[in-house]
Parts: sequence; structure tokens; C-alpha cells
Amino acid sequence: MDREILVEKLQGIVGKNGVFTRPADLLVYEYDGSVDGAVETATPSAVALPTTAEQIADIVILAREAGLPVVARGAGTGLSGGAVPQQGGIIISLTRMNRVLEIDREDRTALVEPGVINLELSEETLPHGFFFAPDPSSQKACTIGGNVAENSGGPHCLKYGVTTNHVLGLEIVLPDGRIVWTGGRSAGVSGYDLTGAMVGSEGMLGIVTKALVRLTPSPESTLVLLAPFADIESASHATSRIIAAGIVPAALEMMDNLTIQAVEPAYHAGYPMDAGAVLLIEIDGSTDDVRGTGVEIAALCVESGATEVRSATERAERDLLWKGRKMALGAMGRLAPNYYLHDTVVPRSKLPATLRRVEEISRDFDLPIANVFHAGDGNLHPLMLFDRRVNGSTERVLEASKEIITYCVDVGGALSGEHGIGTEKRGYMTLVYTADDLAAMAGLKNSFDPTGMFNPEKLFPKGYMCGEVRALRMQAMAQKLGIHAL
Amino acid sequence: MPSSADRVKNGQLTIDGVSATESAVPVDAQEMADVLAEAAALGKAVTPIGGGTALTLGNPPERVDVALSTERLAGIIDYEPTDLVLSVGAGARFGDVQAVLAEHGQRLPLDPPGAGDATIGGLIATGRWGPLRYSAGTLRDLLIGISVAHPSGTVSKAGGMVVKNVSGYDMPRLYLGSLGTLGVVVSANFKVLPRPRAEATVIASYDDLLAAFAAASQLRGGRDPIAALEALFLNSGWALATHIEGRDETVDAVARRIVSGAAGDVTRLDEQESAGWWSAYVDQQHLAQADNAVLVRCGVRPKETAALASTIIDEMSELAISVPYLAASPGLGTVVARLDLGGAGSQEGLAKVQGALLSLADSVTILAAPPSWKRGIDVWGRLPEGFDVMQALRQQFDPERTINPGRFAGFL
Amino acid sequence: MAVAIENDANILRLGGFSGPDIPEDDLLRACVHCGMCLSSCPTYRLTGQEMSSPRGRLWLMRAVADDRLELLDPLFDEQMYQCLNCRACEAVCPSGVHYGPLVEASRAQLEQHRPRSAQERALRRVGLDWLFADSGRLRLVVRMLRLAEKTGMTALARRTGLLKLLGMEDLQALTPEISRRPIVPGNERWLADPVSGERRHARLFNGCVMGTVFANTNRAAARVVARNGSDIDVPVEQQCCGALHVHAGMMEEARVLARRNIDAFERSGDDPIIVTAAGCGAALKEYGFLLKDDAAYAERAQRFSDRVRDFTEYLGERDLVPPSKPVPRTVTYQEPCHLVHAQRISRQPRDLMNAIPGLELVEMRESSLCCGSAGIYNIIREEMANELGDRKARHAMETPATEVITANPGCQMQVRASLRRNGSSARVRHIAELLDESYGGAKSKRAIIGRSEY
Repeated sequence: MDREILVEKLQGIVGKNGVFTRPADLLVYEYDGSVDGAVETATPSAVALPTTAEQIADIVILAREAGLPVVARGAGTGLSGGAVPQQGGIIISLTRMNRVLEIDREDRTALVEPGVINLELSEETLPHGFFFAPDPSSQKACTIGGNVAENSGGPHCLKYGVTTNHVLGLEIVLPDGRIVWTGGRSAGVSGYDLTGAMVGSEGMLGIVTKALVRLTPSPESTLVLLAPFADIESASHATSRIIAAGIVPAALEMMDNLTIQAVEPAYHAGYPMDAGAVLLIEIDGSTDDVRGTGVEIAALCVESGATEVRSATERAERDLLWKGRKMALGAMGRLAPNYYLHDTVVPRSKLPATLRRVEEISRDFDLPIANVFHAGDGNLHPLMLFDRRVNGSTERVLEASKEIITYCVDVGGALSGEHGIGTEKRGYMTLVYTADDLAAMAGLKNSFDPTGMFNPEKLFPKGYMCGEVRALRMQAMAQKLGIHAL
Repeated sequence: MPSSADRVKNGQLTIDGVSATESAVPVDAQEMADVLAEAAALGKAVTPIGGGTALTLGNPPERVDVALSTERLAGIIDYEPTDLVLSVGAGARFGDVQAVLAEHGQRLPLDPPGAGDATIGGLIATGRWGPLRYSAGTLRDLLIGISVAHPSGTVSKAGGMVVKNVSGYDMPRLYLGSLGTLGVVVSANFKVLPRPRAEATVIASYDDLLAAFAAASQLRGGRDPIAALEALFLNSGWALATHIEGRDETVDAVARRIVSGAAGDVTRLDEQESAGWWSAYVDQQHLAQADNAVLVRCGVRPKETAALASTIIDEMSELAISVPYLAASPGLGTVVARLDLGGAGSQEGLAKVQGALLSLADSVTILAAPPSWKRGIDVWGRLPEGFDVMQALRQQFDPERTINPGRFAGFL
Repeated sequence: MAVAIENDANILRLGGFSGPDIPEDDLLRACVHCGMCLSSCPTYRLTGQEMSSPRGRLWLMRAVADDRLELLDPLFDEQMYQCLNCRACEAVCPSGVHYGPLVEASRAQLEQHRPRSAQERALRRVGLDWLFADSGRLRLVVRMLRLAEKTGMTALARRTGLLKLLGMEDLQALTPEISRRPIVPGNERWLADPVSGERRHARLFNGCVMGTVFANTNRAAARVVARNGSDIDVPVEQQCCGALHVHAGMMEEARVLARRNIDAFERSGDDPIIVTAAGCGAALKEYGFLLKDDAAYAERAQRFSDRVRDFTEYLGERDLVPPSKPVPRTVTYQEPCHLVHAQRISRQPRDLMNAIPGLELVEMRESSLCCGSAGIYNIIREEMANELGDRKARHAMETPATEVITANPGCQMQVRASLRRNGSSARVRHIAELLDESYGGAKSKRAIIGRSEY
């Protein structure tokens, strides 16, 4: 399709101020939150900012006619390159679809458009006595649509679960331009769980235009405990003791000494500078429960070697204790000009060994690595500190992160706990998945999007979705069936 | 009861009147995949069978050639109590798994009818739940990894042994509740949870529906640690059962408060008594087929549960159908009812009931009915939106419709 | 990517940037485009478009630095000036990017390299070069405009945007609140109430709009400071702070003003310099940065900046003499960007209000989102400024407050205009007036006229 005609038609759908096509305008749509050098990018042909599902459907149909891929984009805070186009095409930016359409107090649900900001949904539902539980660190900026695409987590998913546990239904635009609802308000909707398949599908199956999400009642009382330990081992031991005691805190976070060195001078949260690690534990529930559980946890921490246990119940005190954790990234600027935030998961019991390995890698690559992580669910976030002006430093960081991933996978972990695969980690997929595993995922993709139009070149290893691998797969199958000449 | 493998071997396996002619009891995942691939190549239909507790669920199968038992894939593969994760073979009996977890003070918070004898694979295939869904969700919220044998002759896995994982598509949720039509579960990994330290149940009687649901509504609006909330229709009125789980003092305090707030007859059950009561309660919703009765589940948005229960009772009375059993879950928006069609029972009669219920509820599932009545009726009710995507999925994963042809939604 | 910073014959160059006041490459590259700034940015909130976000603008600057975008591309100009420079993004940036200086440098680049339209240039030259370059001129103009109200000359002034800039657009509505008598530096002084400890001294930074249109607010602030145990006067020869010039990229003009202010205040040693306009305060605190390359002034500028305290910040650093007269009203607080973001002062104003007996402070939504005033922004970008103003008015009107409290003249005028436009009659006041009221007001303490210490 002629470029001018495309622009004209797009403007016809979303209006003149809803389309960008000048090269200068497109510059700012070539990145997301991923680190420079970790993901590739290809400038899109156009960016459209629709305001309704119907407009999105029309854009999708137009893109299909023009033979262009479509990439959905929320706030663009993703860390795996999910919203960065790989083959150009049309970016559908959902930032102008940002209304909370309905809050149902009785059924504890909210119906929202995809561009609603995560934290603002919680803020809006707070006066009704609720919050939206998934709380990724980017919650101040990231959108619900993006959360759905990445199946986002956050510190509090230890108790409350990740995004998929809070999505009841979705209105989506399919790659053929139809608008359908999956799931819904009532239990027992028949057929396959398309909602479950959509959550975490990185924008490759459908474009979310409305999400029906579960709201969680805000707890009566919240307690935050801070427990410093001499080393990571004893802090990990305390974590295991807490879990073994049958307690699932709302959040259970750990920070190592390097992190404390950066954070404490910046925010004065009261983390002892000489601690080898601190645990930050949040408990919520009824006032009595919180008090009782708090005492138990404190005792377990002390038995495991905590040098002290501080507690905070008032909002301001709690926020201060959390500040060091939530703003840890910012404080890293005190240690180095750049950081690369890594994301992997290991079984909780493998944490101490994994952290030892991370320390070795840090030495081997001469790269300071600070650790802030969700200790409760084994989700590590090694922060690699570097200066990208130094030649080859970005490459070194990427090499080191490969070492870390490989180790995590070896001990039974996963490639990503909450950032997703996107383009950043697609090369690692074969570390954990066989051709047959990937073939099943391809089966899902092909059922929604047989022509590969939505967010191409993501998640699957490079070249996977093109013909050759499929041919290999068919061959393997033929052999199994004893049909050798195919 | 003979084991499913025995039934398979003895050629006793019959689903809705359709009998299997062959059987297979594979010993590992690849053998399972091979059985499926061979059947696919020969155009045979396969019905996987676990505990055999939900064989009547779904539409009557178009064909059953091979009965495929998961019985020999029954071991616990990995269990790390401190990691709160479990990996288990599809053929493991749920009751046995719970017993192992209980030794470490842990559990899978799931209580569908007949779960004790059901297998893990069967529970995943059917996606069933019980009253605990109110607080703990379903297997959807617990399943973290899965291994599946496909008619392509391959075995695929997805997810893993960690509770937070976004490495590739979330395949486990796709297989959950798919009645095996995308592949047969070989093993599954779960997030497990600590058992609550204490439990209690308060059963309060009410003269009428409004009073019972008003009480339920109040409980739903609060922050108490309520594990399950069920309203049971009795000829004399309604009973509201509140299941409380948590720390000892809290459970006691909440139970006391509910007891003292109740206007009519009220009973409090603690610990073993409470657990026993709930097990008996869910058993009333077992899927066994009765001669003239059907078991249905209807769903609406939760706040419309009372209206749904009330209109079902009225509507059935108008159709001269008796309702020997009806239970509602006010927090879930579901009503499960056993309807006695009496002598009038027939395919047409069932279709008429289904039509009537579909006009009252968003979702209607006929959980059990005499096989002859079910012919030609899609017991899963309304065709879901995006059905053609589902057809494409079936085509991608099982192009020959080898597994359970016709049994799933839309006769997939 | 290799970026050459050449230094031949004092001509600096960074990609498409050249000449003095180039955005600093290191500052620019500190942005890792994580997007945490997005939701704090007023223009992004309104448009939802990436180029209207802080990280988008930084990316554009980087594109110019990398020669991927022309300095004179209309998008660059559009975006550098669409920015309100409210600095909300800086306050939330995990990487600590100094956004303000970067956008100011980019504007300086545009000022140097791009011809402006005649009208815009006229406004800038008259408004910023001439009017604000000398505080005596401004006082004269304000007086003339009061007369103009009667002579019908307002239409002319209105067309140039001057009235709006001075907060005198709706003279009718404003009359009761406009001070009849400007403060002339060197002329007024307030003596401290005896409070425990030694006698202290403080110096008031008068400010252009504060010293004229809102002179009475400055007097109220001075009385409150005196009540809290410090002599306070208004040192002579002080000038406009230069904030508007910096925001407009007129760096040299701003430096001239900064040097004059440094000279004027150096005589009073290390006494705190108290500022009642958040916008001025933020600019004064950045003199150190503004003059960092001026060998003669760099160190003195930093010393000056270290002395600067916002009025609320100053009071927050000491034990407050409890205000005693009840103020039985409900108020809400609108945070000036240059207080909350640029100076990170957010708790102190609330603490002060909570110290007033009988006063109820109710928070509005998005209290720290820019109201759209932003220096001369509401004149050059009226549409977007109005949208932001309406949003602010809506949030204020959702609360039961009968008064909106703020701490910056620009906000005060913009919020008032927005409230009126949306049909609210709520008063908009500076926090100093509220405190002064609770201390007993004007009658409680009179200035000594003509007796400034310096």
C-alpha cells in the first residue's frame, strides 16, 4: 500500500492528531525500558493512538491489507523489548485509552481500559476499600494492558499472586480485526481458557481493549519488619524458617550489602551499613493476626541470627522502610553511572547457592553486582553496575547475565520471573525448552495469529517462526509415526 | 471400586453408553505420546482416564476406541516443602497427594466433589472446583508447570518449579479445563500452601432466601478470613455455611461473632467436625448419573446469585420439575442444582430445561444427566466467544480429533 | 557511538548543538528511558504521546546530539517549549537525571540558532529583557496598569499577554487582593519577637510579582518570620531572579541578573535568604549551576544558593512559635512544581497548615501535578495550560475546601483563573497569608518603613 494512502486511512480512523508518521516523531517509539544494546529495534512506519476498540479493529484490518505487522504499546516501561518493533509496521499506542469504566464494590471487580496506570487503579479503588494487587516496581507508570501482556508480578505477589490471578476477562481485538470477549464476570464460562492464554502472551495473540480485573480488599492492618543479618546465608535461613512455620507474608524482600551501601546514604531508611543482608517483611490482615504473626516472624529472625528487628505500622514509617527497597535502582547511581537490571527465578531453597554463584560471576567479569530480590518467591534481580562509556562494558554485562541465567536454569529456575522474554531473552529459550515445548507454544500462537502479524520476532528464538524449524518438527513427527519419506 | 486401569483392562470402560474396545496403560510420558500418535495415525479415538470420577462430564463421546489410563504415572516427582512446590504424575490420586502434603503441614487448597479418588490429571482436565474457590481460587491459581503428551507423538512441557515465571506463553492455563482435547497431562507442578492453623464452620438457618443472602452479603463485604461461603436450599428455608480458616484466636473470634450475630438456629463446628461437614457437603454434588435427575451448574456475576437461585426455583416449579437439591455460592455467583425431571425426562425435556436456565444465567453447564438425554445437546451451554480460535487450537494440537472427540464445548 | 565534543576557538559542538549552553552529554546519557517519569509529566498525561514525555524529550535531545535529528526540526522546538519545566520528572527519576538544566540548555540552543516570530520576540524582549530586568520598571508598569483599568488601555496590555503574566488579567476579580503598595527593596524591615536564644537575621527575596502584585503576601511572610524570632528586611539592589529567562533559554540575560543578586545579598553575610515564590526559590538555588563556568562568580554563586530557603522550608527548620488564632476553615493544598519537584519541599507546607488551630487540610487528587501556569507557559501555550488548569480546578472542586492554598504567585493566579472558569468561587491564597492570619495578621506587627538593614 502506498505510504500516503496508509497515512490518510489511518488518519481517517483515529483522526489527524492520533497518527504519527514523520521520521522525527517515530524516533521516540524505538525504545522501551530495556537497556540500550540489549534489544534490537526497527523504526515503525506509523504510530496510531486510538481511543476505542473499534478504531483498533479498523487499524488491524488496515494493517492486514497493507501487509504490515502491528505492535501494541502501553507505557513502554517493559524491560525485555516487548513493545519495541522488530519489523517496523504500525505501533498501536494505548495510552489514550485510560479510563476506569466501572468499579463494582460488591463483586470486587473493576472494568478498565488498557492504558490505565497500575498504581492509579489502586489509588482510584482505595476509597472503596480495595487495591489492585499486582504491583510491579514500575507501577507508577506501567499500564494494565502492559501488565496483562507481561503477566506482571511485584513484591506483593508472594501472597496475592501475579497478574493472571487477578484477570477475570478481557475484551481483545484478534489479528483478523474481530473484537471478542474472553472469560467474564461469572464462573464456569465454557471452552478453553483464552484469558489465561492471553495473559503473559507479550502482545502476540491479541490486543487488549478492556480488562475485567479482580480487586483485593485493603487489609485492616499492615506491619513492616526490618531484620538485618550478618550474611545472606542467615537471612536465607530465616526466610526458610518463616515459610516452614506456615506463614506466607505479603512480601518478603532481601537486599545485600552492596545495595545497602548505595541505598542507606541516599534515603536514610535505617538499614545498618555493616549488615551482610537485610530482610524486609510485610504482613497484612486483621490487626490481631498481624500482631501475632509479627511476633512469630521476629522471633524466627532473631533465632536465625538477626541482629535486631525493627517494626513499623504507621504509613510514614512503613514507607521509609520500603523506600530503600523501592528506590534501590535510583540509588545505584551513587555506585556507577549505569545499571542492568536482571530478572531470573530459582527455587527458594537454591537462593544461597545462586547468590554465591552470582558473586563468583561478579568477580570473574570484574563487574559489581548488587542484589535486591523477592526472597519469598526466589525471584532474583541482580543489578549489574557499569559505565557504558567504557568500551565493551555493555557486552561484558550481557555475557555475565548469560552466565547467571545459565546457572539459574541449571538449578531448576526460569528465564524470567516478571520481565518477560521479548527480544531480550529469546536467545535463551532453548536453554529451558525443547523443540517440542516450543512447538506447543507455536501451536497457541498459530491458533490466534496464523500469519504472525502481532508483535513478530518476539519470545521465540530467532528464525523459529519461519519455515525451517517447522519443517524439522514435521520431520521428527513423521519419524515417530514411522513415515520416513515425507 | 476397581482401579481405572483394571476397568480399562477388563473392557469395562463405558462413557455415556459408548464402550472402549482397546486399552493402554503407558509407563512413561513418551509411551503415552506414542499411544496418542498411533491412534491419530490410525484414526482411532482415545479417552484418557484417571480416577474415573468425572467420566460422565461433557457431551457423549462420538467414539471411544482406546481407553488410556494414567495409573502408572502416579508418583510424586519432586516435593520441596520449604519451596512450597510440588511436582506430581498425572495419575496420582488427589487424596494421596494431600496426605503427603499434610505430613508437612501443607495442602493444595482445592475441594471439588469426589476429589479424594480423582487424579491430578483428571482434576486438571476437568478444571473442577469446590467451595474453597471462595478464598483460594482454583487449580488455575496453583498450577505452575505442566507436561503434556500430544497426538503429534511429542511431549511438551511449560512453566516450571518456581511460583513466578514468565518464560514463554502461559501454557498450563490453556490445558487446564480443556478435557484433554489439547493433549493428555503427564505430570504437573503446583504451588502449595501452608494448611491453616485452625478452622471452624458456622451453620446458620434462615427462614427465607433474602435473609440468608443478606447475611452472606454482609460477610462478603467484610475482611474476615472466610474460606468458603455456601447457601443451601432446604425445604424449610435456607442454611448458610461459613467456613473460617486462619490463626486459632482469629478463627475463634470470627466464629463467635457470626454465631452471636445469627438470628435463628445456629451450629458451630470445630476442626475435625468442620472438615467432615464440608467433605459431606461437596459429596452431594458428585457427578454420578441418576435415572431421572440432572445436575446443573449455573453462573452469574456474584451479586446476582440470590436472584439466580430464586428464579431457578420458581422457573423449575413452573415447569413442574422438582428441585431436590440446590446450593448457591454467593461469592462465586454459581448455583448447583439437582433437578428431578421425573417421568417427563427425555432429550427434549433436558433441552427445555437447558433453554430455560440459559435465559436466567450467563453460564449453564449440565454436569450430569442420563446419557440418552444428552444426545444432541451441548451440555457446556452457550458457545463461548472466540470459538473459532478454540477450533483452531484443537486443529493445531489434535488435528485428527483423536482425544475425546465431541465431548468438549461446541462438540470440539 | 562516538560523540565529538570539539573545543576549537571556544566553539563547542555536540552533534547538532553548538555554541555556549550545550546540553551536557553525561547528563543526557544518564537517562535509561525506563519510563518512570511518564505519569508525573503533565504534558504526557494530557496527550499520551511519547514525544511529550520527559524521556521522549531527552531522547530527542540525544538524537540531536547524535546527529539523528536536526536542531531546527519543528518537533524539537515544539517539544522543548511544550515542556512546562515543572521538574516533576526529576523528583521521580530513579537515575537522578537533571532534566531542568537539559531542557533549559536545549532552549538556549534554540534561542541562539532559531529565529522567532515577531510577536513572540516582542513579548520576550519586552517582557523578559526589559520589564523583568529591572524591578523598578516592573513596579512602574503595575501602577500604570492599575490606571489603565480606568482608562481602557487594558485591551492592548491583554493582547500582549502582559496582564496574564502579572496576574492582572481579571482586574475586577483581583482588585481586593492586589496590593496597592509595592515593596521597594531597602525600604521595609520587621523586628523579631523575642524568642528563646539569640537574635537572628533573615533577608527577604522580594521577587517581581511577589514584590508588586502580591506585596502584601510578602509582608505577611515577613511578619511570620519576625514572629518566629528573626529580624527580616528586604536588601536593596536586588533584582528579578531570572527564572523566566532561564526557562526561556535566555541564559546570558539570566546570568546578568544572577550576578547582581549575588552582589546585593553578599553584604548580609550568611543570613538565610527567604523566598515566597517557589519559582524564584528554585532558580536562586541553581545559581551555583548557572554560573559554574564563571570564574569570578562560581563559588560566590554556590554560597548564595546555599543560603536560599523557601518560606516554608525556613520555618520547617525551626521550632515553630505556635500560631494561636483559630482559622476554622477547610483548605486544600496545591503544590507548586518548583517547590515540590525542583526543591523537593512537600511535607513542610502541610506541617505548617496542620499547626494552625481549627484549620482542616483536605488533600486533592494529583496535588503535585502542574496547574499549567509555569512561568510564561500560560501565555505561549494557552490551550494546554487551560487544560491543565481545568484539571486542577476539577480536583480542587472535588474537595470540600473553600480555599486553595499554594506557595507561588504563578500558581495562585493560574489556579484562581481556572477555578473561576469552572464556576468555583473558592479563594486562592499563599500559605504565608494563612499563617499570618493565625498569628494575628497585619495589626499584630508593623514594618519599619525606610529602614532596611542592607
